[in-house]
Amino acid sequence: MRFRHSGVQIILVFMALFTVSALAVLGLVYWQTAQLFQRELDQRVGFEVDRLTQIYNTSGRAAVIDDIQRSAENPRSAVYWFVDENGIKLAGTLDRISAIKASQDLGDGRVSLLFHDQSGDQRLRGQMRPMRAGEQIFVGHDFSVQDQLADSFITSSSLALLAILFMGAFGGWWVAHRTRYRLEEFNRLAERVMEGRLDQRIDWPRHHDEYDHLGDTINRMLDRIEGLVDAMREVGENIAHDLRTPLTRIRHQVELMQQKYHQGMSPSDAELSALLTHIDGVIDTFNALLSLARLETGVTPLEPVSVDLVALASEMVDLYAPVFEEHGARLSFNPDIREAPIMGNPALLQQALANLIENALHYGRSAPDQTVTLSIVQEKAAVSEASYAVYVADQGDGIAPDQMERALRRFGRLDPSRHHQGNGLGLPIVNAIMARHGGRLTLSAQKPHGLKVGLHFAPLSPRAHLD
Amino acid sequence: MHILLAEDDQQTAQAIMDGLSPHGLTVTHAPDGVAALELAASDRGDIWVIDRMMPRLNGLDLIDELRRRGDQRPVLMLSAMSEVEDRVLGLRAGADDYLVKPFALEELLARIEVLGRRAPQSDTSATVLSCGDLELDLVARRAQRAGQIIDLLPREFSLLLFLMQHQGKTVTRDMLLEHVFQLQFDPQTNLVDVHISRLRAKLDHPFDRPMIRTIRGAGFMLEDPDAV
Repeated sequence: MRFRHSGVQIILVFMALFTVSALAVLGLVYWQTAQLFQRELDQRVGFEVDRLTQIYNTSGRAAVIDDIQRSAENPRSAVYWFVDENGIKLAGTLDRISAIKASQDLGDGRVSLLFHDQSGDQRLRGQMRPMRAGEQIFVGHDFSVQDQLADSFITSSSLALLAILFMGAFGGWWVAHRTRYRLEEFNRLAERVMEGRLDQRIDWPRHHDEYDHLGDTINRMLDRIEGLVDAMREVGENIAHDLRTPLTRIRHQVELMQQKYHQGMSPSDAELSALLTHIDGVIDTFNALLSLARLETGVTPLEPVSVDLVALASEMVDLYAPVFEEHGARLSFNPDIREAPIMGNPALLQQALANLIENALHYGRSAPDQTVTLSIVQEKAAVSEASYAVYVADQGDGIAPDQMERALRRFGRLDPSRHHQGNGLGLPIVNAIMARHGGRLTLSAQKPHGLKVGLHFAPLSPRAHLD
Repeated sequence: MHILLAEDDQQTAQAIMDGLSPHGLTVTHAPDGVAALELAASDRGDIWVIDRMMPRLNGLDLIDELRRRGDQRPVLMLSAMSEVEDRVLGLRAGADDYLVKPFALEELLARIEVLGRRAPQSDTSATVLSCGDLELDLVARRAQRAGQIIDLLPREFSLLLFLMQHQGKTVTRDMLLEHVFQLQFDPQTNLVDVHISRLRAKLDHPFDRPMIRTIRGAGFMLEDPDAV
């Protein structure tokens, strides 16, 4: 039979462990006690033999016989056996040496004897010592006391073992119950989440154990998933909202062309070009929304490499300066420092700078002879904590301070007429790119007028946030 | 030129065929990856145009299988997946170019032309490229037209180099963004046009006959004005 239930397995394992350890402990205790008991006996016997030897040496054989006879009257006394050089018993509680059934030499003159008397088999442990004139003295103790000790030890040990087994079973049950209760909780949570209830969390009295830790991790994971799903939902709603308008416009244009076709007219090149422009606009918005969603949800790994912001910005300025000139504007580059190394994704950083530069060109247009300035500064003095900021400042109308937060939202265009180009996703994309780099984007007013956008990069280390 | 088109969407396939035929390109269409493999064995064709997501055998696996069978014809991959890593995955699978849906037919046409004529012109050992009276010295990084040295900035040189490598063929804005400017996003400004116009100011304006032609709705073409 195989036990598949983890609770039963835990209980069995607990009982087995408890039994094995209890047996080991009890066995050790028994062995130690028996050793102690034997040593104690051997010592007492040794003293007694020494005492009798001394009596023999000072007072002679008769004094020993007399002493033995007196000592033997005490029922709890040792066993004595005193024989002359011919093996004839002189005194003692042992009758005949020939009744000895077995003897074992224990060394140092100590012997273990098994002999038979009226009451049955008896085991003796003692010391045999020869005297000067050839007599022999044996002093021993009844060894059956130790057997009795062993018997009572086994009885009480069995009772203790039973109690231990019971405790093992209870402990196993308790651990299994506790584990199962918490696993059940995880299971219930998973099922509720599968039903689509993403707001569910593990919520139980804290025990400050690894289950709490797992629960916290799962809760954090669910927070993240819920955030991602919300973000995706928002993206979906935005796509629906912001693509419906141009699609409606496209539909109307095509309907008009169809009407003209029925009236025998063919669509003009200008009409068709306008239609294509509108369709391209929809595609651009769609692509921008998708990349924004990918950035915000962190689906795409950042794969950061070492990037020099000064070199990157200089390249973008070279790229865009002619575009500014074409529009009668100027793009100037003022790096305060020679290099600004950070860890980042070059393609995303290029895109962030390009978005800001293009925004500055579009929205800073109101100024005659406008100049957009790109600058890079080191924000902290300590080189070990170098953090850098890139600023793109224009001389346009700027953004009112109470509107700045809105500008970072999707389609948060501040111009309700929407006659400016752009899909309203430029700043949100830059914001998301900065967030992916562990940095942040700031908006501030430029004196006397205009907008200053700052990209603040976290110090090179720690790099933990960069995937 | 003959195109082998693997595309599961019938309407897209029809639009591609209708769009390419006026330019003298013929198309054989396979509606899925497995049919495309059968086509590979029988049809001659010059270029593969393969959709990434198809039933039975997807585009990546199809390219893999074609390359395994020793089919070395250039592959243009079409995909609705636009992210950089999707593109990298497509190119790594063995595609020579990657075009994201939805695309302009002109863009498709330009890329097919580049791929189709790539093989015979890819003389990479040449150190001097020429087109009519224009010469580009790749070692000295110097351009001269009709014996007159044209002073070019590094980016203008790269732009002209790309145009010369594709002379007589339409080069689209997307191709320039990708290969010359090396940007992986679509600028919201006329970035490419501005740089082309800068190049024109140096290359065409001092001379009688312009070499860079604007192809409406598609891009630009460098050609020898005397050869047309």
